Amino acid sequence: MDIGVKISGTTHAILIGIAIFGAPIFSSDKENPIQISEVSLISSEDFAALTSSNIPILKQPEPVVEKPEPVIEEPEPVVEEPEPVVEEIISDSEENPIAPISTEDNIGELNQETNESAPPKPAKVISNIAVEAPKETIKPEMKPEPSVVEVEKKDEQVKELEIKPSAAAEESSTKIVTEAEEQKSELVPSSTSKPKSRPKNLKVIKEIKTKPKIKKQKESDLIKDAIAAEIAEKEIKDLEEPKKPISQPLTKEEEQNLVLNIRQCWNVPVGLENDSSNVIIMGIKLSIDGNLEEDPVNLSPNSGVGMIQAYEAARRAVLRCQPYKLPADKYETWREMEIELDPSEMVLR
Amino acid sequence: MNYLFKICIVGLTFFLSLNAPLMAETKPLRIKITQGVIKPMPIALAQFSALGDSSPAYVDQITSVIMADLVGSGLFREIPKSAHVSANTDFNMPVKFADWRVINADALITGSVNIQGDKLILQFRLFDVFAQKPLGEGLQFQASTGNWRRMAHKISDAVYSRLTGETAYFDSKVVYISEQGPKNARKKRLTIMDYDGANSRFLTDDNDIVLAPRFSPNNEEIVYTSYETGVPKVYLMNVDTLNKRLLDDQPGMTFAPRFSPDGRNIVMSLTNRGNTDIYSIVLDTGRKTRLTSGASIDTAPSYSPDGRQIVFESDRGGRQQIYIMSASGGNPKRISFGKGSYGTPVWSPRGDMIAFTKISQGRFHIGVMRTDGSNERLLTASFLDEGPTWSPNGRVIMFFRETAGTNGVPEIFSVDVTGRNLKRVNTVNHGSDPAWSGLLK
Repeated sequence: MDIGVKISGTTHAILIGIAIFGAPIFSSDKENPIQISEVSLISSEDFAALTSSNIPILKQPEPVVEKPEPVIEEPEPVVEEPEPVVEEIISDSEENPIAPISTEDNIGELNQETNESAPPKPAKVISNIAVEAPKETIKPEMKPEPSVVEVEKKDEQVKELEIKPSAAAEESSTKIVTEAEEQKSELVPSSTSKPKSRPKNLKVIKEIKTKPKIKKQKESDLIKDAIAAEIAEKEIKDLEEPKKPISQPLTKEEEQNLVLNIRQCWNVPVGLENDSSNVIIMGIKLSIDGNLEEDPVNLSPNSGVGMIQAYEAARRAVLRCQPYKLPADKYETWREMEIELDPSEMVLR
Repeated sequence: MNYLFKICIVGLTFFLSLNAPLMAETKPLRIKITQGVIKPMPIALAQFSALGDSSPAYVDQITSVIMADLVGSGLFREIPKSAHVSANTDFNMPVKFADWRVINADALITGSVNIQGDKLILQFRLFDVFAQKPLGEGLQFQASTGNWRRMAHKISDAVYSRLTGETAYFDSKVVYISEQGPKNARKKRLTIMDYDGANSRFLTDDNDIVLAPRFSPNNEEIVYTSYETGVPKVYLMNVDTLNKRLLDDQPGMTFAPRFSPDGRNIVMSLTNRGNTDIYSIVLDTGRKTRLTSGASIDTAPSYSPDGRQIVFESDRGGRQQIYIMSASGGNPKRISFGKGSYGTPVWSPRGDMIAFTKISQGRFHIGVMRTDGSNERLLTASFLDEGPTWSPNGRVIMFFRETAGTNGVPEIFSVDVTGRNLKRVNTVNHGSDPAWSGLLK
């Protein structure tokens, strides 16, 4: 019996020991010799917090066990510190408008002034009153902002214009008449307020002006009027929208130089060479100095094995190659480009 | 009429609204580039931070292995530490991309080595320097310190995969025949090592001639040919315990064995009464099936990755050529038609190519071709190149090259599937008949 009790006791003790401390003997190190887990990236703020919280630990290496509390407490003041920093920045900007910005502000002020005083604003009112008319009239008249800038000269005449909008509105109660036009012809004695760049508009407006008077004519005429109005609107839009100057296309030589440039930067990833399924199309936007304005956009329709790497290699190529030396006078042509990188002709023999 | 008028107005508006954007739309300039460069990608390996009990020397060892893997692949170029502007003294420190960009590093690896007792914790992150973005999540590896080389290889694998989109091959083994002594009395031993030649270990003594070892799909067993009984016979050996057994004790010579992809069968050549044919053996039951017949010598069988076909060499057409047949035998189809003779075909793990040895005009070549025999490319040329074996990702081929003359010795070489990056692999003594394992787990 004694032997049995001893055996049983020993066995139980071993089993309890294994349960408590584990059984390294039985663990199969061979099964999983290497454990793998992900390590997430921390932000610079977190890193700063980490390093700052580590400082006290480094200062007192030995009593680390004793000092856990201060270590924990310290991050709090660290968190507090950034606040005043932020506050300072805000207060600075509020109290002392930064010098370079002030010039922009001035411009803004000028715009405001001119907006208030120049013809275009009253024009809005006029057109709103005459809402019956096709909306188109509003647009052309609202956009003479460039002309407004010119008016910044602030002649007294311009002030007069400000004062008389109501009169102008009544007179221009016909739908399509542009405010600026009326003001120019009737209120403004000579020139100042009207942008010089609108002769075409004037032509159109003249045509349209006549229409309201014939309101109750035949419907076929009305259709013609409507067509004319649409055309007028389109012409006006065309005049307004293309702020971009019409740019010449790149010459073959310029294009070829660009191709050669990117070609040298494009290190084709292994395994993707000679593979037509890994064509990458990237949309890029360039600033006038030839640098990328923003990250390239992946426009490739394909997806699949290796496409991520293919895109990343293409992106590196485009980033590495900047700034691009392209003719500034053709900026509108190359401002936005699509770069197609096709490794299918990369022959490996 | 009024109604008609309205319709016209609506129609007109619709028409114009449709046309306007079409007419206004200007397509952006499109530049098509069909040629790039293929050159090693410049990468920088920042100084890993040493934590815990790890010493700078230990850290250097680990980073050296990582860089040797990557640079050795031929796809990457190291930017030497002397050129580094920025030193990442802390693993968590934000990367100053401008400092790495200025030295033209495409990618940056940061990491830390932490030893706590006998445990090693390795962390690393990979960054795209020009995009200023991390490439995937960082990884942490934890194991006993004895596994430091494997852990370093694992980091290399992760970097390689992330940058190329392919699986890697650094954490893998190679079994080969270590050769020593004069040519006419050479001692041959079965040897296993890391893919880069490190950690070599003999699996057999030098009493018997051994040949053509091959790994099982799970890398735990090796099948090989031994002259232990006086005639060549195929044996199966457990890599850890070194226990071995004769695969087939029937009369005749058995050789050129290879596992099926599922590890259940072994296909090999059996010579009986002067005729050599290919047989498959079910490992569990020992059941043997004859796959080829005829008076020709059929040998060097190798399964396709899906296990449905077998590629082998045969002289049934008068010269050694490569044939493909069903895994159950029958309907062999010749795929090699070039000048010279072809042998030792091995199916790529990707399934798209077959590597082979070619003998033409007195020279030996290692080459690859598509599985239909097209697009044949010779990667090497020498007095004697033979016995190709694929890396686990199908990107690299290892083979052995023997120099001419009575003092000629075999050495193991590797070459990229494109024919680039030919280099010798370090072995204990001289080496022949290499066989690459799969990627370790």
